[in-house]
Amino acid sequence: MSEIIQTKNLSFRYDTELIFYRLNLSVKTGEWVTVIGPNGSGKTTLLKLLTGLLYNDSEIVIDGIRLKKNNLKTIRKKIGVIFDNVDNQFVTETVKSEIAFTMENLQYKRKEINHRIEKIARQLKIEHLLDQDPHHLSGGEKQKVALASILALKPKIILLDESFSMLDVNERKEILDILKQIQKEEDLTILNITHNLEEAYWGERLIVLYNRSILIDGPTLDVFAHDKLLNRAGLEIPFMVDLSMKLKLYGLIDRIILDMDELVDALWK
Amino acid sequence: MEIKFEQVNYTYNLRTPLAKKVLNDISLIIPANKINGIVGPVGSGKTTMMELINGLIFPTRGIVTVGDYTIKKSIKGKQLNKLRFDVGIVFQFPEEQFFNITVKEEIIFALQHYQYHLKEIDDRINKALQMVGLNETFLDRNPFNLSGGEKRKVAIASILVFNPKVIILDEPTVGLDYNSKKKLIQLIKKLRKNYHKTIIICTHDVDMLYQIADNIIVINKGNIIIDGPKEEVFSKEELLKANGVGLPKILTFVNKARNNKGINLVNCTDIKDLIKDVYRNV
Repeated sequence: MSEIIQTKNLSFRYDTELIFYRLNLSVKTGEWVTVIGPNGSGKTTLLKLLTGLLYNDSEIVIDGIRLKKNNLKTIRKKIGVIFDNVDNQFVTETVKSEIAFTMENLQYKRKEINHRIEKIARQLKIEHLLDQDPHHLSGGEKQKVALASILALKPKIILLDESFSMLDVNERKEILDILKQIQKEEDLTILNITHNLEEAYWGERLIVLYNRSILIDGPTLDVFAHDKLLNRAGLEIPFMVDLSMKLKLYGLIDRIILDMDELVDALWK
Repeated sequence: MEIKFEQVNYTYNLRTPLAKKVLNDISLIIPANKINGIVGPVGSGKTTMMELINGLIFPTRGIVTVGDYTIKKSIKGKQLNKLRFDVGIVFQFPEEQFFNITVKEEIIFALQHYQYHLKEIDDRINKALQMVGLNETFLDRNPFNLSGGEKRKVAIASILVFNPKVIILDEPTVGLDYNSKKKLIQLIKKLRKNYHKTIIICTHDVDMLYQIADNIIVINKGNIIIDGPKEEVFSKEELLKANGVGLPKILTFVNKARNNKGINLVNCTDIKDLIKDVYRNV
């Protein structure tokens, strides 16, 4: 797998406040990486730097192209971003026209637009919503429409910026499960920037930002094992991780189990 | 200070085409000197209840009483001010409302507005700071440069200077990191135990409520679904689920052990106690 996102010695400051100092990040094509960190650790700043919304001379390479002011358009075609409050982004009156909106602006052919809408609606299970007003949908449905609008443009990378923080537990699980399926089918690279450690279950790799740099970077379960370090960095270990790790420590189970039914089965066979 | 709702209705934009009924004949008592949690899905009526208690809005029909106050349109002037001294609301993300350049100015802003004497202002500030666990060195600091948890404490202190008997907190832990959240939970417990405040917390965080609340009120589509001691409310798993409220995770685990395997674990709020009990039962 080749590297699709790379930062080399990335340093960035807002006026006098240093946000990153020599941050080296490398993400491979098709990886799902969760980026977590306490308030003020630079999570959203990182997203803005990767999309060129903030810019300095540090080296950022996206899909083999060094990000520069004069190639932002090319870079941004490769990246789709989903924010938390998508309500403000909806500009049309039906879900179908909402998904079509950017494709129409980019002058895609009508046949291609219809084909992409059909496919993405099927993948996200929103065929029944296509004629509805996006503003009148539930929180989970709105996020699916926002995701559909992005996926229809076939980006190589999806950046999630606290995208599912306003959803309830069930809505969040449903949309993350669907996205996981699409990620595998399309070989998408996903960088999920969140404060909710439970969302890390869906990714194979977890990066913790702290104190202007990367504190820990590794397979999700390995990073969870650094519970004291995570707490010191202001992060709360999800209940199932905490419970499972402690039960393993006491020898009551032999591996970390994050599914509650499976854990109960493992304890009382 | 006890709060009573008697057959309370509330309709926004009454007598207009945009009229929307958000509370339907709700009746309940929120007991004094307890930590009371209000839970329910988005749009269930939680915020409307909160605003009625503080006299920001008045019932369309029915009676809301807060201690000796009756919340109605005729409550005005000094009486309304008195009510708002006795009932403090800390809104979601209260730090976003800061606009002074020192913590002291931020805290005393409202006191000055009500023309308190300087000596009394100082006494009240010191007491409020002590309650939230901040020392005097914070007074000259810029509130915008504090950590998330410290900002939240300053926001609570600016309510506590009025020495309210009731404190309403809207999503108090949202956006706080692990350590700040832990400290805020300790503060809420302290306000109830040491200062005998009546606390009302509107939140989606049922795990936090299970740790600290005495009573839980579940509201959905403007109706009170159930209210009572937390143990009783959280024992109604199906009812809660049907109304968009999840169980605390620790309780979900205890229920699964009982329902799937016939193992009776003790209902506990601390993960360490849960593990000890699992150890005994494996």
